Amino acid sequence: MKKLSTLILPLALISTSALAVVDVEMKVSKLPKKVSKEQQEISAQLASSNCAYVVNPVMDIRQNKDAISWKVNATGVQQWFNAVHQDVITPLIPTASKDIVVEVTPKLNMLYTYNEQLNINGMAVSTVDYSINGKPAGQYHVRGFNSDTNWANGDNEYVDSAEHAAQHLITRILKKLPEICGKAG
Amino acid sequence: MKKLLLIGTIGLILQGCSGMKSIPMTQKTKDAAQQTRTYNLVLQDEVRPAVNLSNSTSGAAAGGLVGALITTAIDSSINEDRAIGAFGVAAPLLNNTLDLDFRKLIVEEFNPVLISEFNAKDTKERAETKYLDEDKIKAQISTLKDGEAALYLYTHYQFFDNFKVVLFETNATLYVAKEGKVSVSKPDYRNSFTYISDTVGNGGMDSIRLWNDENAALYRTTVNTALSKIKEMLQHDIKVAQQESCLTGTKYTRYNALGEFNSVGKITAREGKRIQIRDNNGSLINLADNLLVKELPKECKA
Repeated sequence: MKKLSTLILPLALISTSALAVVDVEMKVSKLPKKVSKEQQEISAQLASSNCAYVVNPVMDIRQNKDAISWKVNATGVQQWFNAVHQDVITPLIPTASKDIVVEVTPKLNMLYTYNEQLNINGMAVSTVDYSINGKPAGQYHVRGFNSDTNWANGDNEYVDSAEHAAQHLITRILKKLPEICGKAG
Repeated sequence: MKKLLLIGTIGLILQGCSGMKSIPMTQKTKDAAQQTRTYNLVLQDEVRPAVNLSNSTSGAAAGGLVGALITTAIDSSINEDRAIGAFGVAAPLLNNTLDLDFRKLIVEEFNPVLISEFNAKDTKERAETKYLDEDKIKAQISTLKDGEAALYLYTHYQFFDNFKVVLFETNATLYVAKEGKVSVSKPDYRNSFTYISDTVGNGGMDSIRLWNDENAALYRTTVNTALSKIKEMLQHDIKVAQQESCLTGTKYTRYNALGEFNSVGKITAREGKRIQIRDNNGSLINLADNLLVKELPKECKA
């Protein structure tokens, strides 16, 4: 262990000495096929359930909006969630009216990335308030996680990992909806 | 291979490898630092879970670049699964402590010392979130006038040993302008301070359950205790670093981003089952005595 530390520490020092926190815009990229397929399956579940759903856009209420890692900050996070809400989430929500209406209001608490050995891990944390037929009914926490290989330590790799974590978060928020409907019934 | 090692280990310093040699505080430095600017950095938004990382990259060197690349891809995939698993285990505690504002707690604990010991005038209400590179630090310290100093604190915290222990570490670096001279490569004082919690539970979900019971009472208390002990170690270090001695070396177990390892130091204080060790590299560690590998030397026993 000590041998490895001796070898890599000077290299790590050299590498960190020339870097600073830079702003990189988080742009909406194409959903991976696997994620898209999973979201379509959730959409089918929602359509066949006993509830109608209102999913409000994720509100960015993070305390730390200055950095998503030691190297990079992601800008345009609220815009990213707004765009995803309009282009990805809304088309997945069935429009048929039903007696029970489940409404969820997700808030983004944290969005961060970090290095772990050869990976860049991303984490998105959300608190979701929900109501049933207009009455507040509870709150739950959702976490989206991602881990990508750190190939070149590029700024975009950190933002991509954060974006993938945010995509995972969205999927998990939607996945929880039938369960809430089940409780409401 | 160098590139791979660089990429793979780029965060090790930030994750607390304690590889920096300590530079003790001297009376001359204390006298020279009449007023201090401070930068108290916490990069993490929440505690990092324990992950048993796949660590075969070093062995891949024998297989050349292709071997290393293949090993990297395999390692990365294994580590992803383990990281997801770790967050799954830790989620109940992490979700239950979203209200715990570590950046606020740390300044509340540290600011009084920064004001009383370093005569800081610029303390903030919350710790900083942005990492400063060497160029930025260089630019900042170049504006110091005679009698002025700049203190950079960086704190990280993480679970180890399958969530049985949580470790907190603060690195402190001080630059003082003397006769118009100050160099980023030659700090006037530098050290690291580590608090390793007591061992809790049998690991995994069992430990998380205990940390998380009663609105995470044990975890919250541990965070407060850790910050308080680190503050005390910093205070202690700037007063006695040069005089302190406890002649016989003691082996003990500690952790860093690469996992668990044994180190050697001298016991400088004891309180119940907890001890304070000055590692041979100069850093101060506060830990439970079950992490001692070797019996306490007589002269160091409380």
